[in-house]
Amino acid sequence: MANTKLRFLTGFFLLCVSSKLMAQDSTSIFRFSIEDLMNLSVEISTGMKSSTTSDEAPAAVFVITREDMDHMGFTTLGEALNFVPGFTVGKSIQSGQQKNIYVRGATQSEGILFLYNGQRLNDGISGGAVAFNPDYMLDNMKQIEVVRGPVSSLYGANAFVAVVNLIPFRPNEVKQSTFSALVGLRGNLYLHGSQKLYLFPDASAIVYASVYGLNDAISQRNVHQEVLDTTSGNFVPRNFSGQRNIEKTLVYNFGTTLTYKKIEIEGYYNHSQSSNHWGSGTTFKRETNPNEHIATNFRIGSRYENDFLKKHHFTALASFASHEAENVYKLENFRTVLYPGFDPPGRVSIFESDLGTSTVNIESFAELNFRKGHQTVVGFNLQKDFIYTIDNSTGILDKDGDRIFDTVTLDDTLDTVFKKESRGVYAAFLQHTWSPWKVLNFTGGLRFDRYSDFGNSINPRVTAVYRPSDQWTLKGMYGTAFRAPTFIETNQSDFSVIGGKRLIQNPNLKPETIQTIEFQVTSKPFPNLLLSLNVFHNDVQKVIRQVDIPGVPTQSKWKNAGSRDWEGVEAGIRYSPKNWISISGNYSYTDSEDEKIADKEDPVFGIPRHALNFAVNLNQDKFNLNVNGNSRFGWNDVPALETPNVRFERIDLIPYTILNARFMAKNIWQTLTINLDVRNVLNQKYYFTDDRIFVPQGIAGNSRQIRLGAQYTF
Amino acid sequence: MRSINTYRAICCLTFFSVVGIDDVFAQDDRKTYKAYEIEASYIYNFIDFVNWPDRASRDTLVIGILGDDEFGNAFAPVDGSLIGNKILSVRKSYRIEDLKNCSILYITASEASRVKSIIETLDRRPVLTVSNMEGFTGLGGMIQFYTTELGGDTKVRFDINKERVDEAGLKMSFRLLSLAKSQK
Repeated sequence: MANTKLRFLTGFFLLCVSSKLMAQDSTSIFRFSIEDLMNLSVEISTGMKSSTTSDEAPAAVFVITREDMDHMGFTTLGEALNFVPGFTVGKSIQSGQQKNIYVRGATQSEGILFLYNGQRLNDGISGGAVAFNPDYMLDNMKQIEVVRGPVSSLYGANAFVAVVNLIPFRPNEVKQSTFSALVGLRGNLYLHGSQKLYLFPDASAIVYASVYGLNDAISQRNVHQEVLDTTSGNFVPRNFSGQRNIEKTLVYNFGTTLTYKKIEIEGYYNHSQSSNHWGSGTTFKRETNPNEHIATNFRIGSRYENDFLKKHHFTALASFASHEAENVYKLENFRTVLYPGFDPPGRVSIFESDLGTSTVNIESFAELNFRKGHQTVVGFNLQKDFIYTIDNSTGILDKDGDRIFDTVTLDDTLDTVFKKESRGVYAAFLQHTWSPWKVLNFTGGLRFDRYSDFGNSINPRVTAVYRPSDQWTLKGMYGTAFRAPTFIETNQSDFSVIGGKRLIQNPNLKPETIQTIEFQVTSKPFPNLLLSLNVFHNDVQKVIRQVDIPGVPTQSKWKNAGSRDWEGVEAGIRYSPKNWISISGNYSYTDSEDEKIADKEDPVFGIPRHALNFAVNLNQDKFNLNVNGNSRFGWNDVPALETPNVRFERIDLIPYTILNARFMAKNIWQTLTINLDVRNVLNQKYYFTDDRIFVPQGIAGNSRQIRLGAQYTF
Repeated sequence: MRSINTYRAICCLTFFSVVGIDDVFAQDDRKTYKAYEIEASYIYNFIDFVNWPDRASRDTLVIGILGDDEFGNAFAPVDGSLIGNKILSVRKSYRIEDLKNCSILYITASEASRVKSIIETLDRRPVLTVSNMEGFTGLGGMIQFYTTELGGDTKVRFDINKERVDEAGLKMSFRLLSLAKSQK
């Protein structure tokens, strides 16, 4: 009997093994017919450390291709991200051309992890990647991949609400030389050139340089306040109207990407200089720009990739980035929030700072494919952040209590310094994907991070992807993520205060945490039609925010306090009824709640509940016409606020629709292409700001821009 | 004793069987490939759809890759294989002189600056020229790959310069021509 069983099992075993042997040939891509090949999808990296398509990736992935950028006229990353479901991007009112990026219910850019070719860009001081780079120019970019939702299980800190991966061109993907130029109204200037170089066999490089300039002014909303009259003890109205927001920006960068066999080395230098004024002062009439923001950013990174043992893949990354920024904020802007009694002589600086930070990052991971239906990604990550330059001063601190502002260099004696600090991070991660059947796969991941300041963070993520047919994909995702406290929050005391309060740093902050559950359904009823629907719920705990200190009315402090949650729906469509026409669009709805203290919930103010993006593209051999736009409406208004000295009114935020158009005449002479862009065709003004604090928060957009451009490649 | 051995054998075989069962169900679930892998497979397929005037007299069908190698090991599964009674061989070089006698010549982007002179060098030799460089067919190349968005995915498609194919004395099947986006 036992022998019978043994024989049966042996036979079964051999059958299974032989099926494996027979499967060898059938796995080759050369088995496909030419018609099959036409329907195969090209892999994208998806920011998930393994290659797949957006359909099969264990996350909600949105891809902006080079073709999208060219057709829609995106020259900077901010313009492109505004088209991603759940994203709203505007200029930061605080610093001019820097970007504020809202994602779903989150209003802080440090919740987004930016990657350049898979390597971290976020700095230690701000936690984000737009403080030292006002924006990223796209001429050198092949693709932008956006993962929506938390992915700390692979990337660690800041992969909190989204991951944005910028994929630059490699030398073998570009032509010998490319030159492009755009000039337009309002000082609009955009120049880019790239050249491919052959260094020696197997080694080639791209060198590139870009310049971007803008000089724009938009009307600012009127401000109404009531200010305490110290003589009568009554509040008296104060109104500001006819103010304009002036912004002037010049950015240049240059860089290179070099490849030698399996090694890539890329580096760039970016310099940006912007000046603006918030224009909300009582007496300020001149259209000069007292606020200045100068930032430089140098980065060098390397990447080595290779297959090993035929079916596994190894990647090693290393990068060094150095950021420096100078900020100067002048007095006129502060008068709206300054409590009466302080009447400084002339213009003085509210705040001047010169900050520098650098980051070293080393990461290595392997994609292991030991058995069919199983894929494992395992890796480690080391990171060190430093603050290397600190120079802060203020002209509005009443040091000696005589109610006259003094100019003071901030130092340790005042406990207001940005302390020189460093932070080390050690992390290991593991992700496994199991495909028990052709139509179903499960992915589970876990990452352990150890920070030298606040300790450990462990973040899991599980995903199930079900593809019952080529027409349908269903995904369910659950995960947690964290946002590490920034050096600003842990080390800097500043004047980001209402009514003159000082904000005190907190070195004992813990990271914010987020928990997400998300479902996605995508359908392709026809090959030329894609429909998608996402439903998500995010729950944020230990929110890092400014909290009043009981008994100390002149101070507030960074603390982990309260929670936030948001939920919403995102729907998208891409449809190409004919070769020459394509229609795409997406709609997002987000409902958010902020619970600062227990059982008291308010909407997260200053974000839109509804966002609509759309694009229609007509493409012929000789021309391309694209009309695209975005609409934001149903904003969560900024509530009224009363301080001992000033009563601020409720700020109602108005809906807007921005319409853009681009016409391209292609190859009119050899490869010369001419573009005509009109951005913000309807000349919609939007300037949403909460100017009740030291520097106004919120976003603004540009006025109508008309640009004429050309591109020539050879 | 016997029963213990049998038990061990059953355990071992069950384990390996499960490994095998998993493979049976898993199949090849890969629906996505790198663009260069798809292009390699296209090139391999083109052999069935093109008739070279000197095909009968050749023992070997050669696919030449001119310039920086963009394919890695993509051709490895078919390099040296038999197609009918011909041996398929893949050769790589930076010198067009080394690849003049190929059946198919893939010109990589590293040669973009000298595409015209490469094509002139080939004159009207029966060599199927292929590339993914933009404007390749306009410069006298025969088949140009391009990528396009369809239903949210990126696909690899191709254009054909039929006039140039005819000039080189190659016969291309109607099926292949009908799959191309455009023919010049």
